[in-house]
Amino acid sequence: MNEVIRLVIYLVAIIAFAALNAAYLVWVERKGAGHIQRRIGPKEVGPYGLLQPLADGAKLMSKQILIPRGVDVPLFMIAPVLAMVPAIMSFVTIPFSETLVARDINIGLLMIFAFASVNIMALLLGGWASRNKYAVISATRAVSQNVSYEIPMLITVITIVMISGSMNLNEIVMQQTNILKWYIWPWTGNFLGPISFLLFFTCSLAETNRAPFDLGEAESELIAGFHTEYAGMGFGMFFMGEYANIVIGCSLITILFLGGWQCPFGLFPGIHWFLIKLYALCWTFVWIRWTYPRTTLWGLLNLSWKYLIPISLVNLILTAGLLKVM
Amino acid sequence: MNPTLLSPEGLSGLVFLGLVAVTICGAVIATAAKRLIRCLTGLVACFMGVAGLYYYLGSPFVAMMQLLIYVGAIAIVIAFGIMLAEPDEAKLVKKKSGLSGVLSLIAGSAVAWGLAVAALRADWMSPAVKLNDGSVRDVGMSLLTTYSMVFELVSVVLLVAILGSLALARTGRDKE
Amino acid sequence: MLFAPELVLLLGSLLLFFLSLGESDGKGARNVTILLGLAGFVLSIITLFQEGSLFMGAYRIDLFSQLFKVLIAVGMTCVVIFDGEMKGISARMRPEYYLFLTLSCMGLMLLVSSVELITMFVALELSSYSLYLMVPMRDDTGGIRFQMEAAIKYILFGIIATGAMLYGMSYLFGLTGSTHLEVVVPKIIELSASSPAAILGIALFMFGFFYKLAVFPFHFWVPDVYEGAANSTTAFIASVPKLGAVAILIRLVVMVGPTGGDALVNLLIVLALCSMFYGNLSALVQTDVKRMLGFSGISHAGYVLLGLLTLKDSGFATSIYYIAGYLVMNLACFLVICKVSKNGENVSIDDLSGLHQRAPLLALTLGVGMFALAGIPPFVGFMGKFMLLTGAYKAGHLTLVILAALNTAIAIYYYLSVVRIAFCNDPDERPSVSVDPMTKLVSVFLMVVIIAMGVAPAKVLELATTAVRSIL
Repeated sequence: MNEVIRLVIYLVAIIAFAALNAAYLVWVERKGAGHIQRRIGPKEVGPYGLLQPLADGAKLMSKQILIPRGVDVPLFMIAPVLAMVPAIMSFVTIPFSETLVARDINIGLLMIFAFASVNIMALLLGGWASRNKYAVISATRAVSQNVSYEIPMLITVITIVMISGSMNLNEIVMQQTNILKWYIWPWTGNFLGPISFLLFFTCSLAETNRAPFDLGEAESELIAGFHTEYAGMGFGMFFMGEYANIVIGCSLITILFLGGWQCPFGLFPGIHWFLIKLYALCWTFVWIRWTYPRTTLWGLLNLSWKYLIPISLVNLILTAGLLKVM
Repeated sequence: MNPTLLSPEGLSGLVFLGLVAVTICGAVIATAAKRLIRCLTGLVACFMGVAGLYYYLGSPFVAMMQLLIYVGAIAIVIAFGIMLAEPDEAKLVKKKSGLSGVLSLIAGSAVAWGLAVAALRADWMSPAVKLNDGSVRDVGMSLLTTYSMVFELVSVVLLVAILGSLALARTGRDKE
Repeated sequence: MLFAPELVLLLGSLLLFFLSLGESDGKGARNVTILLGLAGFVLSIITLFQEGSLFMGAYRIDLFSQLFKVLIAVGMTCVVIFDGEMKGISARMRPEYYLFLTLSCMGLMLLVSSVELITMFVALELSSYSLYLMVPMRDDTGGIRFQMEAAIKYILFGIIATGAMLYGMSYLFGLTGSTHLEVVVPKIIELSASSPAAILGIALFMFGFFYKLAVFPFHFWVPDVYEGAANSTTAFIASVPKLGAVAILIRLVVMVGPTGGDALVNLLIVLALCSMFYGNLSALVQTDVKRMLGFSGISHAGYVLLGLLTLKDSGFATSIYYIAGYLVMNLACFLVICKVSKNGENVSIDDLSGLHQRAPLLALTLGVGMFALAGIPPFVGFMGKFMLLTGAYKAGHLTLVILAALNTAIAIYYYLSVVRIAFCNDPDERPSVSVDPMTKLVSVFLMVVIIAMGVAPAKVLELATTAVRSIL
């Protein structure tokens, strides 16, 4: 029974964490965008606009959930839930610190990818059920992008699994005790480590539909993409799911390449290190978004199929060979 | 001895029934819905229910692979097929005549009944001689020992599938 | 060395893959495939009397498996040779076509040797996928895309059969806790007396192979696929995969053994009778030769089951003999179809008019093939049917034997009417058919085998009996 209560508490905490992150990452995003574009960004609500996300949240929640005529109602309703739930579920296996993990299961890494793949379904259903040309185009774009980038991502992950010999996230972190043992470095396991990191980082950007790979939401062409027809909390759920996915992507990078909750110098490991690394990466995501122009769809797909996948395959084979030799 | 509803056994029983319900409902939607995309959603629900059952039965690895492969890949491919082939929402699956529905119901339930009776009467291997605990390590070990042949063969099968789809979908070699 | 025939095909398919990247007319690929077929044949012969077990007992080399491998290699080589100009195959897919043909043969070779359920399944799928892909590779001259329809039907029915098969496998595994036949066999024999699930498991498992063999309730794909696929593809589908199916069916029926198989025998009797009647009666009204041969194939599948349902070594041996005979008879008929068809289109029975003037050798081959299929002495079809019927009679299935004999009589009508048209009708402006020397060689070879097996069956039967004993 204790276990059940513990899980419930974790679940509540995770949902709160995801929601807060979504809210404040938006603030970071808007502030960041503002400063990058020589503006100030939100400043009216609270000091430095810090209460802006709360106001936005209140607005979204109090709005009516419009269901346009002609949409496929059940699917239209399911899609945002499907976008949100897998994202929340993925947090379950993420080790924030050595002990702070909701469910420390052996195949945590696999589980995150399994749930991430469900997430694609949400985009597809949402876009299709909206019965809106822009939404459908956006859904097909987002899905083809997600599917193509999932392949190099998984292959890269396999190299890490091969090096660390585990799919348990906590164990992977425990092996990277200080900055010299992070899997990003060429001397840990595979001299292509930095390339693995870059591959994984690029794929995370694409998987989370972030610029420069945000073809699914190219607002200049597609209004708002697959969530064009969603109002109020329907949109809010998609939004939260999206930011939760960014956090998960950054957490994974942190865990796989940057030593997770381990301190770079071997001192005082704990959740603070995890959060520092996590938010540094999140900020990089924002930074990239506002400094790079959007690619084209073909460029995007070509990048994955013609470059990333072959490179990641070579990386995989090399890693296997090196592990065998060394 | 009947476990009460809120005891661990009772709760896990509830979870099991819930998963079975999801699987069956998904299957019913997949076969009965009129819009193809809804059939697909039913199928996805069915896959998820089955994945849950695998997890429940102590094979988390298989459960995750089920999600990753069936929901993340197969269902997506089917969805793409539907989107590309049938953009017209007016095309609903045509209703068959009532008689064929009744007949297929009878035939289907007869088959289900037969299989169920055979399954219920059989002496299944008792779980005491279960081969392994279904963890990644065991799956990997048996793939590289007992089932090494299958493991190698599957790669050839995949090669055939990939090459075949490329060969059939390709155009333009003769244009060069 | 034990694995040599498969290994050669595997390496050969790698070579074909690289060829398919470069060339586009398929001539090189075809030559390589012929060489591979011959190499497979020679290596299977060399390893014919060797025995061994590979891959942790999942794969067994014995006389039984090697015998079937020899037959598969023969079938493959013949099909590739007599389809010299690759008329029916879409020009841009020819190299891939040969790649898939080779892989399909390799799948079948792996299938006949595997003694583990999952290996069987994957080997079967390897061969099936390749076949599914070969069907839509037909040249779309008419623009009506009926090869696509055929392919879809083939795949959909195939998937259902596979589903049933996997379900049966799950029963077998659940009951015995193993997927290796050597463990599954004794337990299932023990259980089959008391547990309906054991019989059900085996029956469901067999469905997958009934499908390949085109036995009655799994025959729906046959006419359309035969019609929709290119002539040479049909020749392949109609003959070679059936060898694999028969091999595994024998392995499975042997599993149940002479005792406790009443339900199974009854099932086989019903299926055999339905297949024979359905196949023969439908074949009577066909005008397309390939469709006709398709329906006749269904009835021949019924005959093969006659050997299985005796549950005796001699019966199984006769089944092997019969399916080997069917391979050569069928190939002989398809050789003629491939050659008569000008640009790879389908051949109707009327198109064969006056073949004896247009191409005497082909007419002779067609005559021998049809006579043999009809079961007329001294050809192999006669001896096969005769022995199957006497075997079934000895096993006490009198009614079945009478009905099967009746079917033989029905079959004679449509086979011989083809021969009549080929020999007695006038050619009416139809052009003569040119035959290249390699094909001539193959047709002579097929005729010789048909006659030799018919005149002197003892040697073959002896070999087949030894082969069946080797798997017990």
